[in-house]
Amino acid sequence: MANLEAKGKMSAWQLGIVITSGLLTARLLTATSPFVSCAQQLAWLSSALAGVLFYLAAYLMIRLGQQFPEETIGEYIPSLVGRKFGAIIFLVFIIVLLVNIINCAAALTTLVSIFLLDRTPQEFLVIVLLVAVVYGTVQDWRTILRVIQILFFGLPMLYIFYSLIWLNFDPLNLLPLWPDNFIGILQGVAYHTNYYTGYESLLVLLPLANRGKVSFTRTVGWGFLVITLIYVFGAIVLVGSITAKTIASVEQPVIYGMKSVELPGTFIERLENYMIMFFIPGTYISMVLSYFAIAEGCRKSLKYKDHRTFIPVFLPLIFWVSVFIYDPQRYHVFQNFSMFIAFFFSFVIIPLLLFLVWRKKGRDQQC
Amino acid sequence: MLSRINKGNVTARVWRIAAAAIGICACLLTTGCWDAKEMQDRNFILVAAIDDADIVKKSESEKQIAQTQTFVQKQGTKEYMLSLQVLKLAKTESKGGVQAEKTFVISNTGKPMFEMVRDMLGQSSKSLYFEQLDAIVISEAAVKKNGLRPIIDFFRRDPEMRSRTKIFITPGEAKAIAKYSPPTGEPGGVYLNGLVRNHKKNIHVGGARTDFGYIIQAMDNDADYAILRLDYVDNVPKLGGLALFKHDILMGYADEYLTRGVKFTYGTEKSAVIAIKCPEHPEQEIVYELFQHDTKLIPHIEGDAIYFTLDITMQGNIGEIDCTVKHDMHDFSFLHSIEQAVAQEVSQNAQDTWKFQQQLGVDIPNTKARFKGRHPFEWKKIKDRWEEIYPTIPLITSVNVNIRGIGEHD
Repeated sequence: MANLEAKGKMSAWQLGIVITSGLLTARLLTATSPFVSCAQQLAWLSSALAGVLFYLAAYLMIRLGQQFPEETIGEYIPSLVGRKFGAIIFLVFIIVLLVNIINCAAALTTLVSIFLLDRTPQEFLVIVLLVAVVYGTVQDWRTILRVIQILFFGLPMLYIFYSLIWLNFDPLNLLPLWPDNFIGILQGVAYHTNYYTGYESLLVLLPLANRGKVSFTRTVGWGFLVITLIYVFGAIVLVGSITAKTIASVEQPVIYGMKSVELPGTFIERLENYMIMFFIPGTYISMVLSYFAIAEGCRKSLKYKDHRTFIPVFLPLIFWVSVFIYDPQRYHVFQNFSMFIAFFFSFVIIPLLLFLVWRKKGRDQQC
Repeated sequence: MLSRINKGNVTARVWRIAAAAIGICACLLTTGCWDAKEMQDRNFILVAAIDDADIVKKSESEKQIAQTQTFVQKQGTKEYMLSLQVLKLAKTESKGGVQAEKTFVISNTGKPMFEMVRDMLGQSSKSLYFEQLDAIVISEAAVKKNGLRPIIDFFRRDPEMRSRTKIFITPGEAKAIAKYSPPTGEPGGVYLNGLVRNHKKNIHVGGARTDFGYIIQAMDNDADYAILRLDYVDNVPKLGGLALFKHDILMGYADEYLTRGVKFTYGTEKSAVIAIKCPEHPEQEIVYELFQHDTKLIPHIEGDAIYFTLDITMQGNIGEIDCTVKHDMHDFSFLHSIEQAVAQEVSQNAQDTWKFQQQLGVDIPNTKARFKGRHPFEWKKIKDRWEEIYPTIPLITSVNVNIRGIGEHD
């Protein structure tokens, strides 16, 4: 009989599932247009390159965390860069995760107010979503882990629905296969910050995982591989079905592609509504995970007993920014900021910290 | 100690009750219930018909248009007449053996479309709901006025619209089609939608890749496209042929023969009935029923010469033989001669359609995208001259026909 007892620590495979299920969120829906308008019919190639790049970032984070097995990022940075710079880097880490929560809230509530609850005020939707996220985050880790494992099953359903877009597939839309627009493809990679979200929480979650025979890099790597394959096939099917130019012209291309599917008979209609509902669990997981990582990171860093103390601290800010960016121009600026800070943290700060760790280790060995 | 525990329990219970109360209040305040609209509180639009207002005015009384089908507008013009076929959700009872109509039509004149739609709420007790829109019918005169884009822009932008909505061009009056009440008792929009669904068995109807979503995609990609032609004469709608568009402009119509050719070239036919002359009795006909096919339209370059090859493989049955003399259908040489005659007919049809499109300057099978896809480097060299080159590109056809069966009873 399966052991259903809740455990405080997770296995390496559970860590992989947790990180994977937080990657696929409603954030990607609004990011598809700008990304495909850069990469055009080779959007799939851009997604494949992005998968490699973002896994590289996650790999570096795991390697960094492995140097301090029982500590979170807030605890070990001061020993590397000093207290002041440590505090700044920890603040950047918190901002990256807050940006993920805000982007998720903005993307999901916009979607719901357009397609599900017509013209319901954004403020109310954000409040409801935050109430649900806070309720999830105030639980202890083992409960959160159990909830994530249950909601994880929403992701295959999401992809099954998405796969129906194949019905409108035309291979002509994917031609030419020759990549004549390398810069566009690379620009498309940058927009994938909306496709790979919340994996930064690894820096707090690693001490919560048991170190066994299976390495974290492998389990998280499998998760990234699955998600990257979903994105690559997703890009192929979407461009093949509604063309790159049409994707660049619509606000929610994935929803538009889903709206183009009509199954024979009348037993099931408005497929896009089902798909939006299946985006809710993934987005919720990512938000809870990021918020838990913030609260747990602060708790460990500031030596508090309970992570719940820090949950109300960030709520007004999340609510205010989520509502504030409900304006195309502000949203655009915020998207650029999100992209910049995510890249800066993953590809500048983390490699730098890892370099400092290795240098310090080298010195210690020489001594 | 006990009192401390009790105190702690009470506090926890108060917090839980407070949290539950906040949750319930949040649900009451934030779900869609406050603006919920039941089905019977909506007016479902089934057909949107767009006409040139000047031409409709000539066929209706000026007084009627002036009073109920127009509005004062500071911006915009009175160029179009928009007629919406609305579904009656209340049960309709027949009077004197005559079945009551299931729909009614409201109209308005003006431009832009969205303003007209909102003004039409003055003729409707319930909100107008476009998610069940079955058909958009546009008159030829309306399209010729400013092109197609301004007419369908509202339908492109509104999130209520569906991609798979059928779209038609009619040489006559679109409003008359919106008013049409089918003898089957179905609402008019559902009937029109059903007509298109039969394209899988009717080679004269180009139902594949001609709906609203595909038209928008073609517009986004600067490609040419075809829209179904719908004629309405003596209260009978008839679907057949295609209206061919270049960019936004109606260039002309393809008749049933050319529509068949478009479907052969494009590879969108699901089934076809091809009549040929009997190889032994040329004054009589034999009918080949196609049920499976494979079409490949491929661009080639030899030196500076560009040409396309069209390879078609067809599988089908003998559907009908009109000869007065009975043929030996087990004679393989006779069957082979039928196969060759069908192949010749299909090849000729494809060639005629290709030339017709070249003369008209339209490119429905999207040869431009096919060439660009297969030969991206050569495309860069000639893309600016494509409009000159396209009419000169030859098509080499190769048709392979197989007869699988000779029918149920010879």
